[in-house]
Amino acid sequence: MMIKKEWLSLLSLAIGAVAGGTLQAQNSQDELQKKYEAKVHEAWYTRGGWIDDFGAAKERARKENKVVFAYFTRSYSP
Amino acid sequence: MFSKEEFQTWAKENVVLFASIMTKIDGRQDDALLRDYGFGGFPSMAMLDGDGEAITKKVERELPAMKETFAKCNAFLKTKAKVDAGEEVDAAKWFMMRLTLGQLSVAEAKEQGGDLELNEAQKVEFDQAVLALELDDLMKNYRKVGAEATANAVYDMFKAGRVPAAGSSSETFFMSMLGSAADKKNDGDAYLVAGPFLLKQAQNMLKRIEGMREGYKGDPKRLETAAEQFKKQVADIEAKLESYKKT
Repeated sequence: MMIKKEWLSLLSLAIGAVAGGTLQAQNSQDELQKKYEAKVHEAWYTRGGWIDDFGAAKERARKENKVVFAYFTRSYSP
Repeated sequence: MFSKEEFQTWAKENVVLFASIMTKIDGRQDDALLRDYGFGGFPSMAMLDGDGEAITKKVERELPAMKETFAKCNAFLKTKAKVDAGEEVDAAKWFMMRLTLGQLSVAEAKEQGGDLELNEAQKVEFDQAVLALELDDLMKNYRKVGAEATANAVYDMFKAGRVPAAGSSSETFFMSMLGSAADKKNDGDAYLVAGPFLLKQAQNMLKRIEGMREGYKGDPKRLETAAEQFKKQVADIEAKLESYKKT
């Protein structure tokens, strides 16, 4: 999708605001694991009852005859 | 939105919430799901059936619109069960379901829609859905096709009377391209359609940046630069609107 220069600068500001500056160099596996743990302990995740196992989500959807609401996000970076 | 109680209450009753969290942790299989579903970035949302098939990849961020999409997904699944069982279904309704859930390409929509007898309301919905698909394709091919050609394609749509509905997901892209083409072609009528929309967008962006000043942890110069860019954009659009109104 086309992104104008101005929109790119706003996006970079948002990233800067959350990260407090430029992104760090490549993370170690331990750091990635810590970031993942932090993500799945965020309030939206814990209070919402989210599942992060795709197989388990599909099984529950079939069992309860429900739609899977899939949200694609990441933990390694803001 | 996911933190809001209203969303959590609705979701608990109606859906299975699945968060596909890309981690870059070695060996994590679910990391590839974003690519498997053809999404280009984060965050993305989809509604899937119990086998993981995508019912729709067009999920709105506001809860009221999301609930409407969910209702369409449920209706789709019920009808699909009938189709799979060999039962007779209303062909036009079945086609419109798949079309409005984004399951068809432009070519498929035009080919299959041409064979059906759509009522007046369905024809309007069909036109809007096909327009949205064409605009999606223009967005995806923007870099390949180029800014000017894309803007001209949107301008041609406008001149043919094809405009996305107010508030639709395609509206921002459409108005941005139309504004660009209209200004290059010195078409005041077209610019007076796109300009007010673009002005409101720029003013809203400026407000958001101003609102970020307090507690901003990044480089304040970047914030200032962004603010200046949007102030200039607002001033430019206002000047153009004034100029076109006079002619």
